[in-house]
Amino acid sequence: MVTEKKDRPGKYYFLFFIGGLLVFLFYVWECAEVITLSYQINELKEELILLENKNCHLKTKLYRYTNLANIDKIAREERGMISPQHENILFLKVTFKENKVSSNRGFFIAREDTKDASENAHY
Amino acid sequence: MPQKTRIISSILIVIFTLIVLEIRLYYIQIVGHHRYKKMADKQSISVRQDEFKRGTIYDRNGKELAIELELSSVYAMPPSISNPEETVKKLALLLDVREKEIRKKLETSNSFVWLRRKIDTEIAEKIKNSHLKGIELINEGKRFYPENELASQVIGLAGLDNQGLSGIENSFDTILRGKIEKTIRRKDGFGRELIAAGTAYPSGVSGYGVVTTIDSVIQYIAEVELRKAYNETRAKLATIVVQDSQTGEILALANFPSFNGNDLSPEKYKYLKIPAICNIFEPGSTFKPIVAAALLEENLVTLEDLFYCENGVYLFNGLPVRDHEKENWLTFLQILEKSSNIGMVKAGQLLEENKLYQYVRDFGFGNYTGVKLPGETPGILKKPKDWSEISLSRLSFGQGVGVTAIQLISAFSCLANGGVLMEPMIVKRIIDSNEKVVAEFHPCPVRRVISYKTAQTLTDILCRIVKNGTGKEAGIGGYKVAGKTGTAQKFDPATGKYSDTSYIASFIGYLPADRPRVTILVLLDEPQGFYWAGSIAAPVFARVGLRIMHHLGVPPEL
Repeated sequence: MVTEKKDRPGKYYFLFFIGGLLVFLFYVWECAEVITLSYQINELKEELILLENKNCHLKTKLYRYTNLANIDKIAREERGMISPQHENILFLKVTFKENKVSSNRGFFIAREDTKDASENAHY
Repeated sequence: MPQKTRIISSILIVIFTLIVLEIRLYYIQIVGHHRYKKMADKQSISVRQDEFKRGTIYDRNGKELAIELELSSVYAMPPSISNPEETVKKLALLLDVREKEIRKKLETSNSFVWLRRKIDTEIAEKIKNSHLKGIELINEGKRFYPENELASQVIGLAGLDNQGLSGIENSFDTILRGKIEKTIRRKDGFGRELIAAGTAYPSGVSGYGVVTTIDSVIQYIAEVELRKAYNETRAKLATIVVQDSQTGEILALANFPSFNGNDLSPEKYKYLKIPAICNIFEPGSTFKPIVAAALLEENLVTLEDLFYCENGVYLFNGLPVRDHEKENWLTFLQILEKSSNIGMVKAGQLLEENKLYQYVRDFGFGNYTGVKLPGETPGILKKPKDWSEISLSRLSFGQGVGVTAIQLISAFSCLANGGVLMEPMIVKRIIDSNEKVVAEFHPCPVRRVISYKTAQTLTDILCRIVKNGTGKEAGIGGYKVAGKTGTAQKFDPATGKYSDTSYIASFIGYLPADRPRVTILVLLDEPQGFYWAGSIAAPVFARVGLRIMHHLGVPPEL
């Protein structure tokens, strides 16, 4: 009985030491993991920079093709299109309430019954 | 030596060594703490300034006019470069720069130096793959203008450091700019970035987007026609402004010559300013409707009142006033139709100086219009106390007053909308990155200048000018057009006289006259050869006006 009582504090010290060691090792592992991950993040960031640059390069190309001047040029020079003359344009009166269009010919629709604020403005 | 002594001596030596080491450690960690920490931080910590994406500029229909692209910039950290000579050689090859130039940059005591900003993707990839120690890449925003030259002066330009230099880029710079954040970065012995507590990456806050009142299609129409007119007339400068007659919104503001914001050479820096709001000119005959409005509003004349036009030459206070055509008796309506200077001088005499000055001021001349663009000038309008004996007469036909294109078009929109001067608007709203509206600008009436009735009378007169008078070429089949020509002699400061060779040809009008949608100003500065506004500016107005009517879907009324 006396021997058992003498052994107990030693066991506690040992367990305390093991616990402390584990905490310390966890701390070391955590720090190492943070550093490893930060290296990975940096590598991914560099990759992202290059991908963003490629994206930007493609965007520039896209805008070059879709800008108004280019569309106009392609329409006129490659497709042989011309601007409509006034007499080519048929203005149609559309009645939205009845959802009816009197004719389906023509390029423009005059929305007479949906006047915007500027048309109705009186000062 | 006895064994015991040897053991004691060894222990003492160990204890002494430990004490010395402890003292040294105490000195390093406690006494010299600040000094060594400072040295370590200098090697491993850097402060970086991150600026987030600049906001986009849109036209009124959401079309992007200025966007931010991410491009790589390459910088060096000279203290971290292990093999400077090899680094210089490789960089010179990759960046296509002379070795001497790079060497000079790297021979600095600074811990950071730019090598090349906003480089091509392929070059950036090559630099990354070359794994040069102390050479880093960083993403930076570069402004890109998808429509190239379209509305370039209105949109303006952003500089290398993303600062707005001109146009909307400048006047809305604080709104467009992304949030700037400084972050502390720590690096290890190999120059790799570490993430530690308190050095987290900043969360980006982009700048707000600006939605302008510009309609890119109308702007394109204006620019195409403007370029054509510029080439045909060989003018020094050409301007077209299109304004919503009712709200004062600027739908197009085109000047030529202009520039392409994506490829600006130093010789084009002079085109950064916007002539339509910065340049002052004498309006000439386009000013006559303003004086006529004052006369009609004050009931000093009727359209049938007769004035003697002196057969083309009239000496007023010793100075001659000339007409383009010799006329005898003309009614007030005919004076405006035929744009008689003599008739206007005689009619103008019916007005008191203060009264005329007040009307001209009320129409917005001699004052800032409030358009939110940089560099606006108020023009020149002297106070009546500073007028000479001939000032009133000269003012009656648009001389002796300096106006800007934006003032003139706003004054005509006032006639078009029934007599209310509207503040010219260039921005409709401010939106955040999720397109949520942050602020909205509404049409702003400045004041009522003339009655609705007077405005209607003026519109009728202006329609007659296009139908029967000097502005015939501005007529558009199917639409009723109201407008006025102006062929103004330019003042030559060298001779102190009006030039006989330099003119400003302009046409300003609105359509459809019964319910005006747009006011259009065409201005040709110093056209070569034929210079009469009715022949060179009015046809441009007609072409632009017709295409705008088609674009807006306004049906013909006639």
